Formats: sequence, C-alpha cells, structure tokens
Amino acid sequence: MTSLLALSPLILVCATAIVVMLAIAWRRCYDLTATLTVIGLNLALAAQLLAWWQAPLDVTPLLTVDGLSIFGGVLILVATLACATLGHAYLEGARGPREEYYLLLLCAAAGGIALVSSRHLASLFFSLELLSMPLYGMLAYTYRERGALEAGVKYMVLSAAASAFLLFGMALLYAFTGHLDFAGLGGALASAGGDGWLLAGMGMMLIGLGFKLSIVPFHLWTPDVYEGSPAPAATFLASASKVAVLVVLLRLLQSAPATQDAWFHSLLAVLAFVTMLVGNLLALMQQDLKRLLGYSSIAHFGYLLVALVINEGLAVETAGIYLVTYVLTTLGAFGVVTLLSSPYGGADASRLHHYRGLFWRRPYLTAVLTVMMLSLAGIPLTAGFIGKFYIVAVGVEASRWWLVGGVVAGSAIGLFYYLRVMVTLFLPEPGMQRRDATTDWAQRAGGVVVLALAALVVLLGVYPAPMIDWVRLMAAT
Amino acid sequence: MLDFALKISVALFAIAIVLNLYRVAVGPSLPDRILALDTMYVNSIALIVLFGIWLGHRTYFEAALLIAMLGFVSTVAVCKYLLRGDIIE
Amino acid sequence: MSLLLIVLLPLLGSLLPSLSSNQRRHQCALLTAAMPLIALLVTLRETPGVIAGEVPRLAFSWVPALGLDLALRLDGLSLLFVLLILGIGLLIILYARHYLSEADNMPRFYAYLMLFMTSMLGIVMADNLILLWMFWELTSLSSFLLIGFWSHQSAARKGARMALAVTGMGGLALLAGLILIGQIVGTFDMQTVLDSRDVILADPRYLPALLLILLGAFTKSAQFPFQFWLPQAMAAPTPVSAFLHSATMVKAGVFLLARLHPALAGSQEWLYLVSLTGLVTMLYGAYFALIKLDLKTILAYSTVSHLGLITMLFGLNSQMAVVAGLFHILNHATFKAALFMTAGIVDHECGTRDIRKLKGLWRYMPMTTALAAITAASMAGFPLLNGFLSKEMMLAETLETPLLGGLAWLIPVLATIGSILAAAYSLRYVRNTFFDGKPRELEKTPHEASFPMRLPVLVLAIVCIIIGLFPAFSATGILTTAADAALTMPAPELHLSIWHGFNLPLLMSAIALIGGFMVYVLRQHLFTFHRQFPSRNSLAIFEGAVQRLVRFTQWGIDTLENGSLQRYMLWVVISALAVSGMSLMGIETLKGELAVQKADPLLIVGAAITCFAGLATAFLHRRRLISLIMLSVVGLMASLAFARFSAPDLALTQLAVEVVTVILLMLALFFLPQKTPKESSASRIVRDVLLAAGFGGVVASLNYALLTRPLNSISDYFLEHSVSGGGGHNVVNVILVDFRGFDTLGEITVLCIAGIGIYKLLNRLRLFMPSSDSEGRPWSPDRYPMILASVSQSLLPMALLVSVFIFLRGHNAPGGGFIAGLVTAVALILMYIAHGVEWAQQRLSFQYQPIAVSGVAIATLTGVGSWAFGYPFLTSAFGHFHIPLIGDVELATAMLFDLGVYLTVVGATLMILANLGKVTTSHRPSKQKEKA
Repeated sequence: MTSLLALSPLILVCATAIVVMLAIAWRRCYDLTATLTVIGLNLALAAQLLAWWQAPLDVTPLLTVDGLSIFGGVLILVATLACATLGHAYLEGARGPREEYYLLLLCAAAGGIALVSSRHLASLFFSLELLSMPLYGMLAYTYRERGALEAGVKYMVLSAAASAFLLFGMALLYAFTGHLDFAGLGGALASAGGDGWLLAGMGMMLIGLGFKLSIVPFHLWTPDVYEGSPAPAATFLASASKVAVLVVLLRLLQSAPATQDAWFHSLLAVLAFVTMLVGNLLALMQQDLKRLLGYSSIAHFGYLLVALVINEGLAVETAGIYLVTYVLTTLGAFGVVTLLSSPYGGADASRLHHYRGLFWRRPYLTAVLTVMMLSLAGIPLTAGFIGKFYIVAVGVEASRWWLVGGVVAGSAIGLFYYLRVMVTLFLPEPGMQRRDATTDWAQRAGGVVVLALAALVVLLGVYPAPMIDWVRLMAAT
Repeated sequence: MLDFALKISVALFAIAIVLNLYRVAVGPSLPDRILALDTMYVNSIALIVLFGIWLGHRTYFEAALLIAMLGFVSTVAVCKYLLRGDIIE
Repeated sequence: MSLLLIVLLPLLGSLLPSLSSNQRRHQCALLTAAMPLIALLVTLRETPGVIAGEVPRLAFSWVPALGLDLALRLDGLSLLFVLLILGIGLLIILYARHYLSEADNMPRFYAYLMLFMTSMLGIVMADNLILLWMFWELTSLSSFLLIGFWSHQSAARKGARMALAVTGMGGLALLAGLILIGQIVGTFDMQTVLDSRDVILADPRYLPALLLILLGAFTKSAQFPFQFWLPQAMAAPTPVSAFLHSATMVKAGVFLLARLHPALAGSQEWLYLVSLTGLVTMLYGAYFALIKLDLKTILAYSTVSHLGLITMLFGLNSQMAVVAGLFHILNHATFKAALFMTAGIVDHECGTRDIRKLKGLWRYMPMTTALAAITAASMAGFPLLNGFLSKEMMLAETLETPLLGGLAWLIPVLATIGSILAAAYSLRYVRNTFFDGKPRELEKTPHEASFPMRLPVLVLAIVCIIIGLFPAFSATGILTTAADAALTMPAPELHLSIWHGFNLPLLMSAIALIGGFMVYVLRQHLFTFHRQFPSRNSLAIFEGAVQRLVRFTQWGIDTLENGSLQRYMLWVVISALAVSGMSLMGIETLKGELAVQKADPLLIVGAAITCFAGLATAFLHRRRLISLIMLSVVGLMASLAFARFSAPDLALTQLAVEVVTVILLMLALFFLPQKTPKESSASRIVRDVLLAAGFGGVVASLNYALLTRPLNSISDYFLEHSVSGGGGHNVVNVILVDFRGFDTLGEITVLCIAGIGIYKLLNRLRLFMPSSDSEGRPWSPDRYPMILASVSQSLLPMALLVSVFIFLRGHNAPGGGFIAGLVTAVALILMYIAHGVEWAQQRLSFQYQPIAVSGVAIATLTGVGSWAFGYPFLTSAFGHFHIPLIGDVELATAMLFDLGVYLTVVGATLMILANLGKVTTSHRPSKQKEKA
C-alpha cells in the first residue's frame, strides 16, 4: 500500500494516458482531451504530496521515491502542464488529428517521472526510451512543415545512436561489476577505482546521457531540432526532458564515485567549460529566437555541469536551484514564442523580425519576454541571478578557477545576444508582414500560465528564500 | 574410414561453396548470380547433413529440411522479380 | 529607517514621471524632483550625527542562504557621496528639463535617471558586499538605458553596448572577487570585512581577489586599459554625461577603492597596481584631452585623467593621500559637472560641439563664458579655486611616496607633467570655444541659454569658489568623517588652507600652470606630431573585435553545424571513438584469461566467405539487387554458423527469416529505383571508410576482450532448471515461452501492432509502378508460370505438415511456435506468388488481423489462466498424459502460449506480405473496401 502511494504520481499519469487514449477512441473531442490531460496532471502533482509523505522509500529494485525524485517529478509535471496548456492554444489551427499530441505528452511525462525515480540501469534505460520516443512523434507532429519533419528525423536518428552507446556502456559496466543497480555499481566502482573498463563504461554512458543534455560535442542536433519543431514540443524538450536526464545523471554521480578518478573528473570539467563557451559563442549569430534559446540552453547546462563536476558541499543544492530557475525561465520564453505562433498557421513565428516592435503591440507579452531574457542573462532581481550566483559561489569555494572563468566569460557573451533580443522588442515598428498573438491571449490558459511564470521569476528573484528552503529540504532526503 | 570420407566430402563441398561465391560475385548476368545463390543453398544442405553425420545425432536434420523446402522460395521470388517486377499480382 | 527612505525615494521617483506626460514638462520635472529633494532633506537631517561620528546602520535579512542582506550604512564616505549624488542630481533634473528637445520623451528619461540614482545610492550605502554588487550591476544596466536614450542614433546604440559589455564584464569579475573576499572573511557583512585587513592580507587568495576587484573598479572608472568606453559613451544626452560620466557612475569605481581601502590596502601589490594604473591613466587621458576636437570628448578624456589622479592617490599607501583623493572626488564632481553642462549649453545653442567651428562665443553668451572660465580654471588648478587645493595636496603626496623605490622621483615629475597637460587642455577648452575669433559655419545663431539652464552651472561654480576660498570652513567637517570611514581610524588633522608657505608643492603647481600655458601656446607642434599616428577609433576597434568574434563563430557553425545529419553523426561517432579508444588504451592486455577456441579449416572458409560477402554488400550498394543477393549469402552463412556452434533453433529461425526477408525486399524493390546515384566524393568515402573501420576495430577489440575474460553468465541457471522448472528439454524454447514468457508476450504484441500499423499505412497508398525493368526490357507476359504453380501447390500440404511437426515438438527438440509460424506463412505466401492474388483470395477469404489478434489473446489468456490457480502471471504447468494412439506425451501449458505465438506470427507476417503484395492489385487495402 505504501508503495502504491509513493508511486501514485506515476500511476496517475499512466492512468490519465490510458483514459485519454480511450476517450480519443470513443469520441474525438479536442477540448475534452485537453481538459482530461490537465486534470490528470494536476492530480499527479497533488499526489506528489502523498508520495512525499512516504519518502524516502525504495519501491522496487528499480525505483526509489526520495526528495530528489519528488523534486524532479514536480518540475516535470509543472513543465508538462505548461506544455499542455500552451499546446491547446497552439494546435487549434492544426489540420489533421490533434488529440494524439496530449497522449504523447502524457507518455513522455510518465517516462520522465520514472526516470527521476530510477535507481537501476534497467529502469534508467526504459524510462529514458519512454521519455524519448513520444518526443519523436511530438517533434514531428506538424509533419506537413518540412522543418518539423526534419527535426523529428534528426532527433530520432541521433537519439537512437546515443541510446546504443548508452546501452554499450551499461553492458560494459555490468560485465565488470556484476551489478545493475546504482548502489551496487557505486560500491563496485569504489573498490575497483580507475579500472579502464569501468571508465570506458562510464564514458559511453556519459555520451548517451550527454546527448540528451546537449553537452558539447553532442549538442549538434539541438538548434536544428528546436528551430524546426512545433513550439509546445520544443518547450517540453527544453524543460522536462532535460530536467529528467540531469536528475538521473546527478543520482548516478552521487552514488558512483567514479568521478573522483582524475580522468573522468577532468573529462567532465573540460566538457563543462567547452559547453559554456561554445553555447554562448554560437548563439551570437542567431536570427531565430528558438535557435537562440536552443544554444542558450546548451550554455545553461554547461553552467549546471560545473555544479555536477564539483560535487561537494553545496553542489546538489546549487544544481537544484539552478534547475528550478532554468525551468521557469525556459517555460516562459518558449511560452511567449508559442503564444505568438498560436493558432498554428505554418512555421512558427520565431524569427527575430517577428518580434520587432512587439512592445508597441503587446506590451505585457513583451514584459514577460524581457523578464525571461533578463533572468537567462542572470541580471539581479530575477530568479536567474540567484542560480548563477550559486554556481559562481560554489565554483569559487572549490577554487575551480577555470570553471569560474568560463561562467564569467560565458555570461558576459550571453549578455550580448539576450540584449539584442530585448532591444529588438522595443524598436519602432517597420510595418512589414508580421505574426501576432491573438488579442485575447491573456485570457486563454496559455497566457495565464505565461504571466504567472513571469511573476514567479521576478518574485523568486526578489524573495528566493522559500525556493531555497524547499530545494534544501528535497536535497536532504 | 567414415572419418576420412567425411573430411574429403566436407572439403569438396566447401570448395563448391567458394566457387559458387565466385560466380555470385563475378557472374556477368543476374540469372547467373541467382542460380549460384540457389546452388549455394543446396550445398549448404549437404554440409549440414554431413555435420549431423559427424556429430552422430539428428538435431540438425530439420535445418536441412527447411533449406530444402523453403530455400527455393527466395530464389523463386527473385526470379519472379526479374521476370515481372511485381511478385504478387 | 531613514536610510531606507534615502534609497527608496528615488526608486519611487522613477515611477512618478510616468504619471505625467511628455507635453506637461514642467509638471513632469517637478514630480521627478520631489523625491530626491525629500531624500536630500532626510540626508541633511542625518548629517550632523554622522559628522559627529555615528554610523547609522540598518539590516534586513533577505536571502540568508546566500549571505545576502538588505543592509545599509551611512558613514562619512557614504554621506559625501549621497550629498553629491542627490545634490548634483537635482541640478541635473532642472538642467535636463530645458535641455531635452521636444522629440525626446521626458518621462522616460526621468524614469531612467531616477532608476540610476537609486542604484548609485544603493552602491554607496550598501553594507553588504553582495548587495553592493547588485546595485553595481543595476547602475550598468540603467546607464545602458541612458546612453542609448537616443536610440535612433547608431553611435548611441553602439556606445551603449560597448559600455555595457565592458562594465558588465568587470561586474562579473567583481562578483567573483567579492565572493572570494566573503569566503576569506567568512561573511559578506561590510563592517566585518572592513575590520579584517590582517586576515585578508595574509590569505594566499588575496592576490586573485584583489585582481578581480580591481578589474571591476577599473572598468567602471575607465582606467587604462579600459578607458575606451567612456568617450564613446558621450553619445548620450549631455545631462546624462554630466551626471553619470563626471559625477557619479564613473566615481563608483573609485568609491569602491575607497570603501575597500581598509580591507585591501596596505600591501605592495595594492601600491603598485593601483598607483601605477592611476598615474598612467592620468597621463593618457590628459594627452588625449589636449588632442581631441569634440567638446564632450575633451571633457571625457579629462575625466579619465582626473579619475586616474584619484586612483593614484588611493593607491599611495598614505593617509593624507586618501584624504586628498576624497577631496578631489568632491571637487572634481563639482567642476566637471558644471563644465559638461556648459558644453551642453554650447551644443544646445550652437548646434555643434566641434571645437574648430566654435570660436568667440563670449559675445553671445557672456555668463556661460564666465562660468566656464571659472570651472575650467578650477580644473586646471588655478589658485583660489577648489581644484587648486586638491591638486596641491596630490602633488605633496607624490613627493613622499616610496613607490618605485630609487625611482621615486619619477612620480612627482610625472604628476607635474599631468598637471601641465591639465592646465593646457583647460585653457584650450575655454579659449578655443569662447574666444579666439569668430564662429565658423554654425547652423544656428548662438545666443545666451535660458536662465534655468545656467542656474545649475552657477550653483556649482559658486560651490567651487566657496570651497576654494574657505576650505577649512566648508570642507573640513565632511572630509574628516569621510576619511574616517575610508581609513577606519581617526584621520589626520586637516589643515586645509590656501597658503602653506613656499614649498615644493607650490612650486610644482606654479610650474604646472606656467608650463600648461606654454604647452598651449605651442600646441600646434603637438597636433602635427599627433597627426602622424593613424587615427584609431576605439569604437571601430571594439566593433571590429566583435565582428571578428562573430565571424569566427559563423565559421564554427558552418563547419560543425551545417544542418547535415551525417555531419552530426560523424561527430557523435568520433567522440565515442575517442572515449572508447582512450579507455582501451588504458587496459594492459586485450586478451583475457580464457583460452581461445581452435579454428578448423571449414570455420575459416566460412568466416572468409562471410567477410567477403559483407564487404561486397557494402561495395556494391549502388546496384541494389546484387547487393541484396550478397546479403542473402551473409544470411546463409549466419545460419550455417549457428548450426556449427550448436544453436539449431537459431539456425532454423535464421533460415525462415531469411526467406521472409527476401520476399519482403523484393516486394519493396519493385517500387524503388534499381540503382542508387553516386552521392559521395572520393575524399568523403575515404573519411567514412576510415572512421567506420576505426570504430569497427575498437568495438571488435572490446568484444574480443570481453569474450576472453572469465565472466559469469546467466545460462547456467537456465540449463539447470529447464526440465525441472519448465518441463522441456529445449532450453531455448523454454526460455522463450516460460522463463522469459512476459518478454515474448510483449514481442508478439509489438509484432501484431506493427502488422496493423503497416496495414493502415498501406491504406490508399498509390505507388509508381515501372512498366519495364531496369534495362528497359518490357516485362515478360507470363504472369503465373505453370511449373511454379504446380510445384508450389504440391508443396503446400507438406509445408503445413512440417510446420505442425515443428510446432508440436518445439518444447523438447529444436523447433517452436515462431519457426512453425514462419514456415506456414512462407508456404501461404508462395500461393500468392505462384497463383496470384485473385486465386488466393478465393481460397483464403479471411482477414489476417483476427488471426494475429487472437494469437495475442490466447497468449495473454494463458498467462491470465494461471491467476485462476493462484499463481503469478504466466506460470506454466506441465504433466504427463497418455493420449490414445499417440502414446505418452509430456504436455505443458506453455504449448498454449506457443500456439498464441504461432498464430500471431502467421497473422502478422501474412498481414504484412499479403497486403504489400495486394497494393498493386484491385484488392489493395482501402477504406471503401472495408465498408463494402
């Protein structure tokens, strides 16, 4: 019974998926499907409280419910709710079947929740696949657009290759330690130390997981996929799937002290440094907002990797706080793009010239986007500043000067392109053809979500204490 | 005695398969290649049966049976393809 | 509480102008000025207490986890700056009211200005290191908004961007430095930090922290080599320049030096770094102020120079120098703000700031001329004005410093040279603008500015004079308290007076004035010398650097991310190769302890054939049919290998699957081109081959290494328990249907779904059918060759018999449901091939979906059935039965499961193959057909 309660969010999401599937088969109604999805997700979010009651608890050899998994689960559910509401407005104008989008979204969310709770290589793999496969469909959902089809195919092929490497690494680890669960692996790695086989296995696993997190040099798919795919799907990809994979990577690194080995440790540090710089540098050129956000997410995960590399002291708390601020900001930024492209009418309105002079048409929407850009840049009084401060503090405390230098340089470069977006918003109108959000965007569910996110970002920037306390609580369990 | 005979037959069939492979690789026309492939199937029937004799039990007999029964179907499919293009019509 | 008011009132003031509009400018200005005025009154109320020595402090806990508190203090140093900021700010509000033209949006301007004022007040009153940094960043941001106020001008936008980039980068470095200090001391609280000099200086991290903090201070105060952004920031409206770039924002850097002086100063590093930078900046700025041609640029460079002077004074590790520096901050703010305002007046009235065109303006604006002359004289260090006093103190301090040891005489010499240049450019400013002939090519007729515009300048000039004439009376009090704060110890007694007797500093001042005059007279030679240098526009250089960075990243993008999927795969594979290769190299021997099995000649021949065929498949991939034939060879060899290595089930399965695959491929090949065009260049082929070979080699090595190491495998368990646990002698089959039955259930479900999916995808699919073969020959007219038809018809019952036989014996001998299903399916498809769809349709008139689905259902029900007996899902039971006529048979419920597998395989395979085949006939799958 306690296990069922502990797993209730996961069970609820899966149940919602089945209910939605049956509803689609019985009577196709777009609004009904969306409502069912949202209700189910809200119930699952409430059920996290039930699960928290039971935490920490090892449910099966595959899953565990502790503070970290509840933290990840809450973030994923919030992100999925946002994607569902944004998708509702977006897909109004789409031709062809629209209800399956919610089904795919729910399956992916279930995979994500399972992934953050997994403590066994088997559950890691199948939840990772459960998370990725619906994404193949979601990213190519508006397949009549060439960009979407290209995005879906690219993601599918490269993700399959990455999964192959992940499996190979897992096989190597199993062959030489005989354990598949994280705890057993950790123990075996601690005693075996820097054996070449184990490093090879960890390295291959890192390739697989690094692909999902867009770590350089496995980041190549990110900008193309973000640009081509429909905005709500890109939102999910940028927020929930990254959160899930990062949490599981964190869990792996916590339990397996292979990172203490010099080779692996320096590999991670080098990857973090390069990711920060490359992500920011390559974003300078972009003319498309979704591509720019793609590169910026690469850079942000570079910053996060710094916290993972350091892995001592406040590192877990830092990673948690940064994740929260990143998710909120990303949801907001992509939310604005989605609202501007709703209802669906061809390619998304994501090129920068669509945003020129947005302030004069939609001041509140512009305010939201400005707040998000400021937060991404790490300006004080926004949530992003809190996260970035934590990263710099952790880096300075551990005396990792190269990494701190990378964060500083990356943020300085980042300022440029975020500023460019903000300036574009306020330029005088040119009078050429442009896409616009519907006039009643603030009354639609998506608009409310986006406004709430902006308010939250500012609120957390000014008064971050509740968030910090919550993350601390989660990290302690 | 049986051993000696077995070894020679296996060697001969192996050479036969190699020659078939040569014909598949070189054969100037497509029918040549297809027939060579079919002959390869037939030779492998022989190899499997010989293997069964050498081992002394009949576990592999069904493999030979299946090749004999179904091996020609793939050849048939390819030939029909060459003739008509559309296999099932 | 009043401290909070001082900071927050201007913040409120930034919201008030939006209540008014651009039209009602008077009202707007009054609304804006109200808040700073109140704040100033509050400050004045606190002043007596502060001068007496109290330090009011205020602290709210904000983010305790980060050590960030909302803590404010008002000590002497803060008081000095607050009075400067608020006082000059009010004057600027008045000035801007009349300066801004009709087109400029006044409420927005005032809002930005008040925002800036808030952040500046926050910096000077912050009692927590991180809070100070936050306000620091806000000043950068608000100055960006102010500099780029005239956003229609490209120079303004670029100047704003450059300012933000430089100060932003410095700000981030400052953050790192402040965090470091916080960690050395243990807290971010300012008072504790200020009291911890010994701890900080002794710590090994002192130098990095110092460097980072200096980086922040120098970028903000435009010290060499970061001075280039300040002249470009002159694209801002003049009130902005007067406020930010003379009196307040650039002073933030030197404020930081003063504020952290008790904590960081006293060491040799501080002495050398700060003083030398200051000195170099002073000379650099003074030189360029003499050369430049735009009024505001001259003043900008002179600001740079004076800031260098102040920096140098803070660098000299002496108490009087700190006092002198503070004094000069005060003086410089007053005269520089006034001078900027006069430049603004000139610009406003004459329409240009080019010093070559402006001459002899004294006729048109006498009062402005007088005021400009007074303040410029103060800048030059003319006696009886405040500039003279602080400059003389500076010169006195340079005489005493131990900097540079034996070469210490250089310092006063260089300082004197700086003063000479200062006098020269001050004289140039006044004389060339207001005297020396008649104005040339002016757009507007110059006239005196309106009185409200001159009033602020007048006020500031009066302040200069008062401080200059009565220093002891006016300035001592505030200076002493400020110095107390900056030194955290009682300051030395200040005897500020105009006359100290004939001494060396006086001589140096005199030399400065006279020398300046001479340099001015001889300035043409200097100009000619300077013209030899190529003119370097710092904005162009900065933009050039940015463009180069951008081009570099563009190149990076084009090589790495050209949108090609193959390119991305390439990088992924290369990285994987690197990782696995490197770790392989870390292993000593590849081969493990297990012995390698012996290879007999047949095996070698088989392996050689497989390799050859595999390579041929790849090489001949452009000729598809031949490639497929080679693929069949590989498949056959694989089955033979399975047979050789004692895996009869696998051999059977491989053979059956081989046949089905060939049929499927032939079905598909009909609709596809027979030949592939050449797509890769030769070099690309080489690259790909090398990469593939490398990766294959690495994986092969890994496999070899693993195979030769003694590792536990799970097969022992199954071998032991297959009879006792599953009731069958065929371990493979028992694993499939019993031990791992759930897995098999999942697989047949997938197979069924795939079949249904394919059926649906073929719905109304219309494909192009070639009317002749690849070489152009027409198709043969013989649709159903007779030999094939007869032979296949007699084959069917035999095949079905074999299939049932294999099915029944599967549990104890090689065989099983899967193979049986495939055999049945192939036999039935042969019917379709040999006789055609019409004929087969008449005899096999049922749909295949129900067969597949019923197969899955049977398998599931078998598993569910075990629930009825109280066992977990898919537990099987077996027993011995005696069937009449057949004899003793050992049956297991797993056979029911196998039946499900059999039906699913038959149904799914036929679904796929038959429907693919029907696409070209009238029986193709379509929605109308179903309804009919």
